[in-house]
Order: sequence, then structure tokens, then C-alpha cells
Amino acid sequence: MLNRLGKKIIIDKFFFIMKYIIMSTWCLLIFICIGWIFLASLSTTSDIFDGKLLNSGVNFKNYYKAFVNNRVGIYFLNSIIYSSVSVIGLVLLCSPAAYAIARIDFKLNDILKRIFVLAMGVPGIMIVIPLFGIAATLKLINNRFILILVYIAMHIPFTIFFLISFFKNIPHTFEEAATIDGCSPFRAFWNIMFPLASPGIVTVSIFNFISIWNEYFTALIFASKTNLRPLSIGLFSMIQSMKYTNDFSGMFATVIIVLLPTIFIYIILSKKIISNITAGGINE
Amino acid sequence: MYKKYRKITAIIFVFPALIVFLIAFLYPVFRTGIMSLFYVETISDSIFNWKFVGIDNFVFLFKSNLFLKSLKNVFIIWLIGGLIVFSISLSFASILTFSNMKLKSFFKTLIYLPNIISSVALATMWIYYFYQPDYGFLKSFFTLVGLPQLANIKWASPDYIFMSMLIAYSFSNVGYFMVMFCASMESIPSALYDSASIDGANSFDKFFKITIPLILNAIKSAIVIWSIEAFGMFVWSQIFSPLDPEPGTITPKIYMYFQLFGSNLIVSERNAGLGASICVILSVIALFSFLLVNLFFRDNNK
Amino acid sequence: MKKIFIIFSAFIFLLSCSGGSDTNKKKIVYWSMWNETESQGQAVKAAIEDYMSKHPDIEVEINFNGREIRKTLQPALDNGQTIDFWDENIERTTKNWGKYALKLDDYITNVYDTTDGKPYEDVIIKSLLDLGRSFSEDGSLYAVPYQPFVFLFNYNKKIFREAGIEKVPETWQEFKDACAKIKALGIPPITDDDAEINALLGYHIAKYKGTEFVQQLVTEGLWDDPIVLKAAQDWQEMVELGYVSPKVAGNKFPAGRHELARGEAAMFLNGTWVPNFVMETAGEDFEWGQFPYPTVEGGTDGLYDMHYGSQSFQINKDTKYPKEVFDLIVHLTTGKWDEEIAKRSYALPVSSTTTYWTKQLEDTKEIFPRLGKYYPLDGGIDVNTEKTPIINANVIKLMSGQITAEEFIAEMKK
Repeated sequence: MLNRLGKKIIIDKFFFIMKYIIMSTWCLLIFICIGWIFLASLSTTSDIFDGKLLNSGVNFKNYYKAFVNNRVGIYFLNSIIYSSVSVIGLVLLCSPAAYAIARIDFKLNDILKRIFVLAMGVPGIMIVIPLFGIAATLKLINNRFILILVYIAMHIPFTIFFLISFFKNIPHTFEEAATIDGCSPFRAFWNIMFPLASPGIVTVSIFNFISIWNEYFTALIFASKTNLRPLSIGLFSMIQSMKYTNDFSGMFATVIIVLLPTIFIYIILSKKIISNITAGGINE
Repeated sequence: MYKKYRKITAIIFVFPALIVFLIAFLYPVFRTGIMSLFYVETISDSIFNWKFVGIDNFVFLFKSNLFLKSLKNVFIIWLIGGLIVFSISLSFASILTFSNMKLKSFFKTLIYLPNIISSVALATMWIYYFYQPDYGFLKSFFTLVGLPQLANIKWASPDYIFMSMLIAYSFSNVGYFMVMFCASMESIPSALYDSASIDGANSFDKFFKITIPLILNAIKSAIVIWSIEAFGMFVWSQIFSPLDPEPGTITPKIYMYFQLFGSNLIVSERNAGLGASICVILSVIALFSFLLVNLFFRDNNK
Repeated sequence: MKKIFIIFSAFIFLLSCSGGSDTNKKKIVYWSMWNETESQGQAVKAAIEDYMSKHPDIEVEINFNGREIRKTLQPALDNGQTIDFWDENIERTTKNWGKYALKLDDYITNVYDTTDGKPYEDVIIKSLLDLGRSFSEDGSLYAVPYQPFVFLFNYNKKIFREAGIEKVPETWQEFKDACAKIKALGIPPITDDDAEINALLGYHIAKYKGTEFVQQLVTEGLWDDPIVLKAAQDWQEMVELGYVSPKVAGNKFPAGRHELARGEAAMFLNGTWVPNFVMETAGEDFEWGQFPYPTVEGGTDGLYDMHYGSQSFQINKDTKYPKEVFDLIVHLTTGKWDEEIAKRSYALPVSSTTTYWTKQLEDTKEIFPRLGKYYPLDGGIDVNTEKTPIINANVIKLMSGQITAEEFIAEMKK
């Protein structure tokens, strides 16, 4: 008996240590990759190929080059515009709709819900080609508005689907109280239901924000002008241009320039982001 | 009276989203479907210049070795990559949720990190650092531990590049699904596990008999998301073969991109109708997996 | 909180709607094939700034597209966006975008300030004008050449000297002998990058049987032709002798160029833009040389049959200021700025008003007047875009010794 217990303790100990080892290796890899690239971005291309990072000292030349010759600032601004406007638009459009579908019985609830769920399975590219064609006919390409519209359209099904489950879980008593107080349904929604659903709204907004922030294909097609490019496209063209000048250290510097602010913001907000996502997981 | 009032409210609430959805989602989807039956020289040609070709576009695609190869690539990524991503993220999630580890939130934050980094940067890191044959991580690592044969493998050569991309892509997706599963697992009442422990269940029993059945819904959503992502893969392939597509990395979306906008090296013909056909094929696959998942898990749920 | 949110969204909304400024200047929009970081991009930008300072009534907006212009230009043109002129390879501009372009035959017969009193067409390299005309359906000129190039072996003269090679090889046998001497130094003679390695085989087959055959080969799949096997075997032999850098197996663009620049390999079959490309790593003192792909025994094609061409400027037929734009292009392609652009980007000048010839490309001075038959890019092996990726993967395997010539043919016939 004691023997068995001893064995169990050893096995538990083993698993316990294993857990740490696996997790730590995983994280270490991430650290090494980012760390190495950071050091490489401060070295020269020859150093990198010689395998001796920082051999010729720390030089910030690469950063200077990346900043001066590229429009990193504009790319950042564009990304912020596209992501935040789309996210705000999505909230304004989708939360009332999701609320109505979730809580007001008007016969179409089920059909609408099914349509949105099904639409979630349709890849975004299905809408990109014709919208591009239409936008081209209307001479609307290289216009921020159209890109934002495409982003909003692409994310409607998921956002509504996600929010429906949130509105469903809010107790009915709140609404009843509001109606008794003589609140109009609009005020009842904006003043009571909307704040109550805010954890879900924040969560879905985080999801949407990250996905639009990193979106690539649509932006590649719709924003071919340098000044309209978001970060992902700008980064790709910067990296490509570094390759054309055979400038590996410059390429890594560009990667770091793009990474650092994102990581910085993420670390500040990570507790909130992770806990929100965790709390608002998809529990259909 | 009150009921009717609420109905009007509902319609007003649904209306804006529905309009945008109809105009900017449903209509384009149908237009793509119709376009797939036409020869369309450039993407912006007006509808009067389209030439009806029936299912010719689809016939062409299913005869094209390159397109079939691209489908095969994403299918393997979906299947093998899916197995890798789901097994790792599920086990990470359960470790991070149920064990009394220290630094839990630190690990969670760091593992989720790749998800917020632009995939362009991420893929660049992999191909120009991790797999690089001169100074890359794998090269240095295997040289360090004294395995020169492994160190000399050219991870970006035609024979290896698909595997390299598959691993890189899977690794980078673990965090996202892990957090998603964590979310679901945290809502499982711990009493269930306590009583299971009393009954003498070990960790594996608990994982397969309690955890998995209770987070089936999350797994279901995760599979749908994974399917859409894997079949629509684009950036990774583009970074792994930056100039022209190659058989090892080509995906349907890359193939489509070149059909729509022409190739890089050479002056080539284009046919936007083919691009639309590819979209239709991808959508059918995605919807199919979606329905399949729904069917499969509904039966298991009860 | 709510207020901040509203102000923030209003701010963002305003930003997203911000438009351009209006001035009385004539505004010309130029979409460039260069990246802003490239020396060509910098040189062209400087030339345009100089032009603007001389013509205060004209404002030129440059949009640096990089090579992505190959994909972004046409949709933008279809979209009716104002783009007055752009540049790319002369074959691409004429064939792909010719229908959007202004016919230039009348413009090039005029005399301009910088053309030494001669008509513009008389100071520009004639073979390039002819080439441009040959690409168009009606034999007219739809783009003006600049930055001429030839596609041949760029090599490291220092390594050749150390190996004791006195004369650049002209036949396959001489080429092999040269490789043997370089190999004896312990340096792999030849290297390449992933996407461009097709040229080695494409040129080789073309030297045997002409470029029409190569194009036929890839479009009709004539892989059973014994010449193809012979060409593949020739290269297999080179690989077995260790004349091809083993790194080609995994070289991702631009790693192969880098090998050349670091002196880890001696030759690279590519355009004359290679020295500029690797200038950062190779440095000014790198001794560059060029020689054409050697002839093969029993082959139909001569030494000077090769791929050549140029970048080119093309004007939108709907431009509001055709005269001004052409004037700007003359400014860019003749006189001081022809020389400056060549100098700054280690490229070649296009007009005879320029006597300057880039040091790194000294050897090509002899080659340009002798050019023979025109080869499409990579000898024509890439004309079938459906097949190119598959050919490419297998050429890489052949060139890195992973498959034999017979296996290569078998793979291609699949």
C-alpha cells in the first residue's frame, strides 16, 4: 500500500516537473527567437552571416534606415484606424441586432441566427473579389472607407453569433424593471442591456481587433497605395524591400519596430485581454 | 400593443446589421458563385464582358496539378497540423487550468503572444531565422548538441519546406486555441473532479471522461475556426516562398491570388473567373466541415 | 469614459476621411517599381526632386510600390485612379499594360534640351527601342527604356584570378575547366537562388536547340526530347563534380546572392543588376566581371544569344499632361540624370549622351553591341506559369544532386 502511494508520489512529482519543463521550453523558444532577432537587428548583415552577432558593436543604423526610408508611422496609424473604426462599427451594428435576435421574439429569430451561423463558415475571400470588382467600377479602391466596410461585413456573422449567447444569459428581471419604469426599448437597451453585456462586447471587440489588426489579404488587394497600407502589408513590403537590398539586419530591425509596440501594449493589457477572453469563452 | 412595439424595436435593431450583411456579404457571395461560371479577364471587368463557360473553370482547376497540389497541402495542414495544434493546446490548457502551478498567468500570456504578432513578422522569423541554413536556430542548436547531420538539413529545400511550414504554422496557432480551451475549462465545476478523485480516477481518466465531454462546444467552434484558417492559408505561404509559389508551399488562396493578379516573373494570362471558382471550392469545403462537425458532435453530445 | 470614446471615434473618423490638398501646380503621379530603400528608388527620387526644383509649376507624387506593382497597378488603373506614369520591365509594360499606355512614336522624334540637338530616339540604345516595339501588337512604342540589362554570369574576378583563369570561358568545355580550377581553391564555382535557378537549365537547353524549343517544351511538355535529357545530364555532371554550391538546395532569395557577395561562390547567372543588389555586403571594391552563358557542343545558338532588356517608363494614355510627363522622362533618361541614376544604382546608362560606364559592369560594354537573338527570361523555361513551380522544385533538386537527370525527366513527365 505504502509502496503504491510512494510510486504515485514519484509519478506525480515527475509529471509536475515535466509540466514546468515543457512550458518553460516553449516559452524559452519564443524568448530566444525574439531575443535573437533583436540582437540581429543591432548587428550588421555580415555579422549575422558570420554567426557573430554584435561583432562590430551595437549599431542603430538599421533602425534609422528603417524609420527614415519607410513610413512605419503611417502604417501604424492606418492599422489603428482600420481596426478601431471597424470594431466600433461592428459594436454599433451588431449589438442591437444580437440583442433583438436573442431576446425579442419576432418569428425571424431562429432563421436569422441560422443564417449568421452558416455565414460564419463562408471564408472571407468569397466577398473580397466581387466587392473589389464593384469598388473598382465605382472607383472606390484605395479608399479607407471601403476597406473598413469590407472588414465590418466580414466580421458581422461572428460578432452577432458571439453576442447572442451573451444577451441570452442576462436575467430577464432587468428588462422588466426597465419597462415598468417606462423606459423606451431603445433606452432600455443602451442604458441597461448594453452595459450588462459589456464583458461580451469587450471580448468580441478584442477578437475582432486582433483579427483586423493582423489581417493581410483584403488589405493587400484594397490598399495598394503606400499611404493607405496597414501594418501587415507595410511590413511585408518593407521586408521585401530589405531583401532587394540584401539587408538582413535591416529586415530584422523592421520586424522589431513592428513587434515592439504591439508586444508592449499587449503586456500592459495582457491581464485584461487574457482574462476577458477566458471569461468570455464561447459557451454556446 | 406592447408586444407589437417590441417587434418594431426588434426590426429596427436588426435592420442596419442586416442591410450591411445583405449588401456587403450575401450579395458578394452570390456574385462570386455566379462569376465562377464565367471567363472574366480582369477582376474589374464589367458584368457585360463576362463570357459564360459553364463548369469549365472547375474542370480546368481539377486538371491542374498545381491546384490539386495546393489542395493537398492545405488538407494535410488541416489534418496533421490540426492534430498537433489541438493535442498541444488541449494539454496546455488543462495543465494551466487544473494544476497548481506557479507562474500560470505568465505562461498563458507568453504562449498567447504569437497570436497578437503580425503573421508577416512571425513567418519571417521562422524562415529567415529559425530555419535559416547559415546562422539559423536549428543549425546552431544541432551543431551545439553535436548532431551535424541534422544541422545540415536544408529546411527550406523543396523536400522539407512543406514540413517546415506545417510545424511553424502549428506552433504559432497553439496559443490561440489554448486560451480558447482554458476559457471553457474554467467553467467546469471543480466538484466534478473532486468526486472523481475520490472514486480513484487518475489524471488521464479525468481528462478524457470529464474535461473533454464538457468542453465539446468549444472544441466544435475551434474545429470550425481551424478549418477556415487552414484552408484559407495565405500569408505563411507567401513569406515562405516570397517570389513565386512553389509546390511545397502553395495553397489555394495563393494560387487564386496569382490567377487574379498575374505571376511575378513572367507576363501571364489571368482569369478572375478561375479565382471565383477557387473561392467557391474553398467555401464548399469550409461549409462541409462546418456541417460535418455539427452533425458529428450533436450525436455525441446526447 | 463615454465622452472620450465619442471624441476618439470622431477623431478616427476624421482621419479616415482626410483628403489631399489642392494647389495650382500640375500634379503628376508616378507609381514606381522600386522600393524607397533601394538605390534605384533613391536615385529616381533625387532626379525627380531636381526636376521639380527646375519646374516649380509641376509637382510629382511618387508612390513606391516595389515589385508588388506587378499586381497592384492594373486594378488601380481599371479603377480609374490618377496615375500618370509608371515603370517596370519593358516586356511587362508593353505586353501587360500596353492597352493603358500612350503611344510614344511621335514623342521620341522630337529634340529635347538634353539630347544634344538630336531627336530623342537617336540617343537611346536602338536595340532596346526595337525590343520595345517588338513586344507590342502594332509595332509601336509604348514605353521608353532605361537601365538596360543583360542576363549572364556575374562573377568574382578575384576568385577567377586566384584560380588562374586567364580568359573567360566561351564554350561548355572551357566553362567546365574554369569550374575545376575554382573548385581546386575549395570554393564552389556556381550558386543560385531558389526562384531563379531555372535559368541554368533554361539557358542550357536554349543553347542546344533555341529558345522557341524551350518554350514549346514547357507549354507542350516535350520532355521526351533527348536534348532535354542531355542538358539535364550536363548539369548533373557539374553537380557531381561539386561545381554547384550545395547551399542551392535551401537558398531562399536572396541567400544565394549573398554567397556570391561574401566570396563563398564565384558565379551567379542573373541580370546585371546583381552588383547593385549586393553592394551593401560586397562593397565597392568587389571586382565584378560578366560573361555570357557558354555555347554547347552541337548547339544551334551562339554566345551572344541571351536575355536582355531594360526597365522602362510608361505613360498613361489618359494623363492630363502627356507633354510634361514625357519631358520628365527625358530628364530621367538622358543627360545628367541618366548618368546619375546609373552611377548611384551601379546600373547602366541608356542614352549615348552619357559617356559614363559603370565600373562594376565594365565587361558588358563589349557585350551590348554584339547582342544576338533575344531570349525570354530564363531562356523561356518559365513561360508556362502552371508548370513553373513544379519545374522549379525539380531543378533545385537536380542542381543539388537530390535527383539524377533521368529522375528529373521522369518527375517532369508526371
